[in-house]
Amino acid sequence: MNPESFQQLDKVIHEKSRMAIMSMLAASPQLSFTELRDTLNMTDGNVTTHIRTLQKAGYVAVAKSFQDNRPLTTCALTAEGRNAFQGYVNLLEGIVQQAKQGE
Amino acid sequence: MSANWAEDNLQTIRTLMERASVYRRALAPVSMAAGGMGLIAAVVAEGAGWTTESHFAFYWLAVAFLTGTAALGLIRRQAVKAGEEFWSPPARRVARALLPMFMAGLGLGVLEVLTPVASRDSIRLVALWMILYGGALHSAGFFMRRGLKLLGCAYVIGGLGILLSKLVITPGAWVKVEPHWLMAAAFGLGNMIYGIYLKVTAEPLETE
Repeated sequence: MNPESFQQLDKVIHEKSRMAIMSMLAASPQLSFTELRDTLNMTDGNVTTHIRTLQKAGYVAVAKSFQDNRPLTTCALTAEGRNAFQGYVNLLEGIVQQAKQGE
Repeated sequence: MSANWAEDNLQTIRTLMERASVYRRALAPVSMAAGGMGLIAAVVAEGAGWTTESHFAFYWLAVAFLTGTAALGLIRRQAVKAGEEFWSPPARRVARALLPMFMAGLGLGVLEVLTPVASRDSIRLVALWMILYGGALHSAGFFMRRGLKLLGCAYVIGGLGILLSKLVITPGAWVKVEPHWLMAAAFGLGNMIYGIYLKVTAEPLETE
């Protein structure tokens, strides 16, 4: 197995909670903050911290609006985030394939 | 780090992606519609005077069929609106989780219809339906919102409580209870309250 493959893994995505957030956003056009928090069983603070990290990396766009007079925060993957996530998944698949070929 | 770890991560990603595409937003309107139909059906049955044991099981099986059809219509509309696949793998998984208990409920209803009227017991049937419905919701809860499992438990406990009360504690008191109103309370009001709860709480709050 090529150790370089592991080093190439995107450090921003390569964290359990952020990988989970990215996975959910990759499957949906957009998700609300509450949907992410509830599905992933995370605290408000955790979700906020990780979303901020992903936002800084340019992977996630956050939009704030109002629905029924209540604040609505939605998150979506940016094009850059989608590419980075696809690259991350491809790399993982490559690692698995390398291991299978080596068996 | 090993290839097993990479495989585990890929599996986690697949699971989360599937979960994200289950019809999250459809749950509140489906619950409210099911609750509304339960309440209306009870009012109609009482208004029409269909209060004998002979009508009960058949009538509510028909209501359940109509409610299921309406729920599927709502889910399909939601999926189309959100640009999601209607009969997606996670949706099939949820359907498979619900099916055994729903089929058992259908079977019990049909058995009740086939039983001589004198031997029928509508209150017992409502309690058994509650237990089966609770089991179905609990199973579906593994693939959807966590709250669904709690609602499932509440139905199971409620159904068992009715059976216990009817058979052991206060059997006489249940003679006066009208089964249609019990259906309205259990399935109509229960689903309506859950739907309203979802509607009120599921909408997002501020992140910071």
